[in-house]
Amino acid sequence: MKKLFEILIILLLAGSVYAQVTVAPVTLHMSDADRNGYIVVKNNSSTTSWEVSILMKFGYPASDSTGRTYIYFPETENESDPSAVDWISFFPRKFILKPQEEQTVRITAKPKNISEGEYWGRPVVTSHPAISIGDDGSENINAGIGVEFRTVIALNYRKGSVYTGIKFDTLFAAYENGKFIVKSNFSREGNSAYLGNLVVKIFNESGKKVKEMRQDISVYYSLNKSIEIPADKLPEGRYTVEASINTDRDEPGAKILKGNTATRKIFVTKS
Amino acid sequence: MKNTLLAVIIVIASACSAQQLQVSYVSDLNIGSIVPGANKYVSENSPDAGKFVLTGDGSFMTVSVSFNFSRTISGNREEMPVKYTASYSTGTNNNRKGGIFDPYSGTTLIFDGKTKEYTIRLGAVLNAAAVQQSGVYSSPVIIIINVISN
Repeated sequence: MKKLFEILIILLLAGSVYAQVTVAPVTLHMSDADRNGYIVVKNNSSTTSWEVSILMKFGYPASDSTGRTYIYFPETENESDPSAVDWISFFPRKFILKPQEEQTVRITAKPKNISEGEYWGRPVVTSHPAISIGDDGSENINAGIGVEFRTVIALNYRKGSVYTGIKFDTLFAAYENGKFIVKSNFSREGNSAYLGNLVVKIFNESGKKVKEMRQDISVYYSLNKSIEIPADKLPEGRYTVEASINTDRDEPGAKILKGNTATRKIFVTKS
Repeated sequence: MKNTLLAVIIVIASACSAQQLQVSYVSDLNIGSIVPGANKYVSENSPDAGKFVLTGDGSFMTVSVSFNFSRTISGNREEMPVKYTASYSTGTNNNRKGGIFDPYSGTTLIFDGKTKEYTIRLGAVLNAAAVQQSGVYSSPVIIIINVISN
């Protein structure tokens, strides 16, 4: 008779229900006039201590051909890359957070001989429980998975005159399987990232707005963006899809650079 | 003295108003009993799925969620193949089935004033060998949350 094995996959650690880590803010805007910043990391758990470490990598949002956005981290940095990694420091870089504790991590920028423009980095806040799972020596098989959270946030440093703009390169839209599929392609202008919103509105033949969707968008060099808008309940007919990109963001604590607004329209038939 | 007090107030106000992201671990992925040599599947939407919650602060924010998995979980001298599955849903309702996604590709979640929380669930398929050694098996899982809207 085959023996039964007891297997328990432990994602984080046994008995630690609602272990929580909070990182704020998720975007840091620094400049020559504001060379100091901070991140607050809080352990909201009542039972578990967390070990936290912080490093920064050079990276920025990019997209694949399907319009999926991801953070691109080049394996090697080029001299032309606007990287802030070498001259931004964090203190402390590594610490233990006991239950309900929080730590303010101070960030200091010491740029040397950089030209005007915007410089980027992605602080990576890594946290994992500050205990390990041991062998219980029993006949059972116990399987444990040590979980680590990596929260990757954005940091931009601006020197001198910074400005941004956007070029709306292409717009494609179609109706498939109960959804409007809207694909847009953008190129950034200026010397800083374009942080804004993409607003897609759909109008029926009489000009009445029947759908609207808004998403945050960040264009560092160029970006393909794909949005799906469910519309299976709309009647058949000819629709106008209007896509507009702007910098009218209402983001707490952020310093969003203002840039131009760009709009394109396309007709789509739902049949 | 007045200047010092003013500075403290500004720092606190700034910290409170900043966008924040919270990651909460909720429950273990419980495989239970398995027969050596047989597959064991725990659905990503079952009560035994591993679960964690991402919480925003009500402001617009887009994050990508991806994972670094090992293909096996390791014991003292042996390994056991494992393949993970995943789903996500809005809110923290334990009984709501989520939309399935490939955890090896990741997914994108959009937070706003209406959608402040997402629950991510992890399932797994394990295959213990016909003669599987007893002991502790473990494997690291790294959950990567990238803020992609900034």
